[in-house]
Amino acid sequence: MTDPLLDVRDLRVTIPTEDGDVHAVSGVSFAVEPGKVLGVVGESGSGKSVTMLSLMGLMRRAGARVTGEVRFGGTDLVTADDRTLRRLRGDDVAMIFQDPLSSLHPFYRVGSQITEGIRAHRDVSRKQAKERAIELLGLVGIPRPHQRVDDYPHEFSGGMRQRVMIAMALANDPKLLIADEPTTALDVTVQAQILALLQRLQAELGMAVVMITHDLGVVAEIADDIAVMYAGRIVERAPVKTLFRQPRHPYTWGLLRSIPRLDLPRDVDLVPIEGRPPSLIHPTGRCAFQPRCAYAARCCGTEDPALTPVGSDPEHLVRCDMDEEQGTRIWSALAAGESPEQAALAAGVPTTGTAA
Amino acid sequence: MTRLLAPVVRLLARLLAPVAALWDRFARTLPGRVVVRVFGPTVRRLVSPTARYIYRRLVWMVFLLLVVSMLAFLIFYALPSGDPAAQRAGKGADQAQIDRVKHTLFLDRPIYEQYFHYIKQIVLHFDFGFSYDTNADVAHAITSRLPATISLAAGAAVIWLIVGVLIGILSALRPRSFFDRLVMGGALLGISAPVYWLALVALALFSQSYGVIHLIPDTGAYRPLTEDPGAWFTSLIVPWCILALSFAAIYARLMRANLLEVLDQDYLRTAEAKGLSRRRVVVRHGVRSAITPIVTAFGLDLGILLGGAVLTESVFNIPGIGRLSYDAIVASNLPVIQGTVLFAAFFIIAANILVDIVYALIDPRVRLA
Amino acid sequence: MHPTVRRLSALGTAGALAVGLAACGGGDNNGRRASAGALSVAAANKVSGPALVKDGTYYNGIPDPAAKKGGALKVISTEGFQHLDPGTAYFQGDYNITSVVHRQLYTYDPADSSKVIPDIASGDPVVSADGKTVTVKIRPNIKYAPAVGGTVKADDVKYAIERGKAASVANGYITSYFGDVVGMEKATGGKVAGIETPDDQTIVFKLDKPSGATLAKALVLPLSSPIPRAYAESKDKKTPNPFDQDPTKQAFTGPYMIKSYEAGRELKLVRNPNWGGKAAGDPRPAYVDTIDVAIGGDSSVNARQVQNTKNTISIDPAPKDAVARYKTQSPKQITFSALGNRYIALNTKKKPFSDLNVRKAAAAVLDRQSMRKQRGGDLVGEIATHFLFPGSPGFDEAGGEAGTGADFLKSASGDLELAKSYLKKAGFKDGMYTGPAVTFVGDTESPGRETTQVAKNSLAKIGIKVNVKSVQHTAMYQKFCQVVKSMQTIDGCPNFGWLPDFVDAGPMLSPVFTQKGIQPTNMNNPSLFADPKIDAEVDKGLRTADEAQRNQILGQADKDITDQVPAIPWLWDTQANIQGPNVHGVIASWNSVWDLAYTSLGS
Repeated sequence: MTDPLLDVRDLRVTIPTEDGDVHAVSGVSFAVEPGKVLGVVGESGSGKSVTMLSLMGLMRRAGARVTGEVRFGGTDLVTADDRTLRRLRGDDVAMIFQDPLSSLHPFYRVGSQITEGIRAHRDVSRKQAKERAIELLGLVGIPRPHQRVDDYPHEFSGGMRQRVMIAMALANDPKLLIADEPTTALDVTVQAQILALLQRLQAELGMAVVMITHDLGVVAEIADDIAVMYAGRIVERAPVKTLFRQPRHPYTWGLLRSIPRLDLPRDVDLVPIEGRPPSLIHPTGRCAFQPRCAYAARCCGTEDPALTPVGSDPEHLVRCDMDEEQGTRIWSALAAGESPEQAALAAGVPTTGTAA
Repeated sequence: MTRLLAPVVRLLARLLAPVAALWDRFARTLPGRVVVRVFGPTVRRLVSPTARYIYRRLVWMVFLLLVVSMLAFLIFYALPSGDPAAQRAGKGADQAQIDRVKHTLFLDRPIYEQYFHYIKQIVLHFDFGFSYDTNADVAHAITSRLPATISLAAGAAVIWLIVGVLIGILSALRPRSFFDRLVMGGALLGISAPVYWLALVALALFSQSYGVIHLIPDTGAYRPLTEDPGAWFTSLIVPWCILALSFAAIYARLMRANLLEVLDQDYLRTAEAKGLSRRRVVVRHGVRSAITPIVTAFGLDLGILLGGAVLTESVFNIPGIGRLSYDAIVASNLPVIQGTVLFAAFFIIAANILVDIVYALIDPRVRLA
Repeated sequence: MHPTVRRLSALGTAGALAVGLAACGGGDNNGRRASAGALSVAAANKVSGPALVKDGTYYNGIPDPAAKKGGALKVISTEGFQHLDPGTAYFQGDYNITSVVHRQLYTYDPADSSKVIPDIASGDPVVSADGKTVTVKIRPNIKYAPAVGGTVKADDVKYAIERGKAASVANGYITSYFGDVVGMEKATGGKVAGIETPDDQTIVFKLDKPSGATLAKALVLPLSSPIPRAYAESKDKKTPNPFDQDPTKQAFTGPYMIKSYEAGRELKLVRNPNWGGKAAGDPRPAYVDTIDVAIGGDSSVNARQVQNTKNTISIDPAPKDAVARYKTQSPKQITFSALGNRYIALNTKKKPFSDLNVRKAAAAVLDRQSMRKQRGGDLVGEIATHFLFPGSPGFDEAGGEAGTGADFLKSASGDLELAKSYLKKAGFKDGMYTGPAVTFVGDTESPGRETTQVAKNSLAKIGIKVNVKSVQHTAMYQKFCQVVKSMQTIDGCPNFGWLPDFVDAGPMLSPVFTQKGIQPTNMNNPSLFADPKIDAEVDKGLRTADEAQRNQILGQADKDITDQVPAIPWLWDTQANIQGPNVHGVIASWNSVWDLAYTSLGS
């Protein structure tokens, strides 16, 4: 195991609001090794974007309190000053965002938006920067980059815009690319193209990627590891194969069941997990997923479960008290297309009420 | 008065839009197609889309001005006001005398003839007639007063734009801070304080003759810039500030709201993620976007003000268009009303066109067509 | 008169105009022109004779024998001027200027404005016994300002009057006072046969009717300011009139001449080097060297600045707030002068006001005190008891301040019982009116609107329901109250008033309460009042050249008219005039405002 490029330990982010402090991220730890791809998966509000933004220092202006440790190339990003962070942003660490139209400035040509990023970190002439921009546009597969470099964002299609965003992110050969829902706003066919592009670039350039998504399907192909987040915490973390083969957390099950699958009848519902994410203002101190968990009766006590290894596999961590065997039974029932109720029944778990 | 005129002109433009649609329809008819077929390609080859747009808007402006002048004519005749000839002839005048005056004032002709004569004189001689009141030449009265109105409006505009935008930016960068609350509270006061009252207070505090501190020249001290730049400046500085105050307040609030919204935009996050300096993010990415709607408001406000700032001009006795038009309305002085209304409408429409053009320059998403 | 007459004039304009004052084009409510007088004119100025009283260290009206010559006088005029051509000028403000840059045949005695003295004329006018011929001799040594040059000849005066009929000049009072001159009626600016100039120093007016005495009095008006025919004739054919548009071209004979003029902005006067002064028969001292008039601004601000700015004078009626401030100040920089009257005209040709007793009842019940309160209280003038106002010739003869003795005008706040007794006489038992409602046409603007409301409430006390039709100020006159046809449906015009064209009782009565005042349009007698006996009486007065006799007759006519109640007089207006420190202002009481040719500066 090589030294991680990014090492996050017990990251906590609290955002003060008028209704009280929102504990957006409460103790997240993970690491990304150079050249690897980590998929961070969760519903909106699970804290995955906040985690990434805050480790880039982009939550500071919103008044968020960030604690913990974020090591990147020997620097602790939590305690680093704005200047240091600014040097890293767009250089060693780059980001791309969900909606490429709203993420590009409507008033500036794409070329100048790319060169601006280059010139912020590299002492190059305007002309050199522009050549680099053209090269990057070509790299991300935009036809006729010489001409398109002078176009405005609104003159591109959605997929092309995301390519521009990617080109912009790659401008300074980042070591780490954080992609925040890069395909969510795109058509399905375009999604695939962008994913393929990212996969290709990752392989070619050898950079590490953190891919944030609410859709496990998106990261299935590209990620090496996956972290599932819920209510500001990682509830399950595993290498991608392990996670898909032996998911342990009921929430992960829910996510997996919401991916369209070819091996199941079309009428099997893809309804995601019932219920809504809990309030992050007043944590209950118990398992945050308990209110939505169909199998809570069997496992949940008053304690908040810790993130513990599954069996003997140190790479597979889960935050659930349910015993392993029962979990395996439920998952196999679910994977066979049964409903949570049926699965719970099969595993002998009462489906109503809680353990109390 | 021009404040009232602006929405009227805008409404007119909207109401008359069907006329523009008529042209489109004509272009689809056989003769229309012939015209387009014959001239279209030449025009397209010779003239850029922007130039064609400007040309179309200019034609539109002339048309609107015609309608405005026609309406002013009609309104003057429809409203129960005095008979200018009887007023001019005097209390003891007999009918014969009144009729003679009527004849010289062109008032004995049918209204369409009067109107045609009026337009003809403007087009051929830039002659807007003469005041019933003083016999002064209307075109001269207006053009000789324009510099004062332009001085007042432009000076105030510079102040309110700079002050308003700066305060708006600073407030937006620290929302809900003490500074923000203070200046936004102040802005509310600035918006609601009547110009007239402010002017009187400023004079009571600072006027040379009766102020608490003798700081500023008395009213009526205005001199043209070309004649006496010092007097021009000192006589205008307080009127500028007072006229600018409410605008600055409005612009500060507008700028603050715009910038706060822009700062929340995804592309600002992108800019930050690129590692740009904070200043560059705020100014080049944030302010650049937030100021765009301000440019629109600014152009229109300036256009309206060029039609005359009645209250400020009156209190400080600045010989501008505002005072002229006010007096003319009070006196039912048609030629002067017509003239000032047309000038005001011209400025408003021209400002609208200019704003559209400038908008297209600063926002690449907008195409003039 | 102009619609809006903002600057209404004391003399010059009449009726509608005068009223202008009343409502004054909205002036009152924006503080632009509010006439105000804190004291009664009579009290301040000693009613009889000229308004000359020394007050504090400043001279409120008296020409100062020790005054110094020289200096630059700054004049503030909020409203500005309308017509500066002496042939067209018809407003108080305009007269301020025409009177100091021109000379007329006659002018007012500086010590007593009820006396007329020769100006261009070399002696009193000679009115023939039959009243049909007026002969005036003029001085031979009056020169025009350099731009025109030459001396004034009889034909220049003849032409000055003739051009009054030209459409571009359109004098407003020529018909009233010169209309009887032979050939005048048909004239359109060309020669009038009835004005003869047998030699360069003699002018003879030949009249169709025996109205020579009044014509002679009207020779103080600016229409008789001379202008050479050869110089002006071609210019007078142009529209607009070049002498009005650019008054620097005028043929000046007065102590000053117009150096520059920008309408609505500024007017500059300098000395006329060709003015002969006393040697040429002009008694005016013309102390100051230059007069700069700054036009525009806000009346309140202007009044404050005048109060604290040396060598400055205001020729606007002072606004109410200024009057209160100036009044408490010592030494005084304010003076008051009489201006005219205000009344409610009642249609005497239409029921119910065709009945004299109903008119008397209305007068008796009217709360004139409240009406004045609505206008601004005692600052604006005295409660009127007849039509001639304090300071006007014939005022004392008509009963002075005590009134004519008419019981229905005794109580300022209204006498309900008396009103009822008149209604009983009119045949309404119980003394309450039971007929149909009446219609008044009033002003939409303050304070005319409010005073009309008071009148309405007063009349309601005796059962007369008033429907008020409110219309814009000038429309009130020109579309309703001055149009005979419209008066067929109107019972009263509550916002009327009158100012005389020159100092005399005749122009206060004749145009408004005689048959002469009734014409299809542009008339000044909305009461449609024509009593043959009173017509004859007024006519007799107008034909009487002897001052005392004339005032006696016209004063009696005022009494008789008051008794017939064609209108209910309720206010004698005063105008407040203000000046800055170091100015010795002198009032031209004929014009109710400062006389710039007498005003001087201190140290």
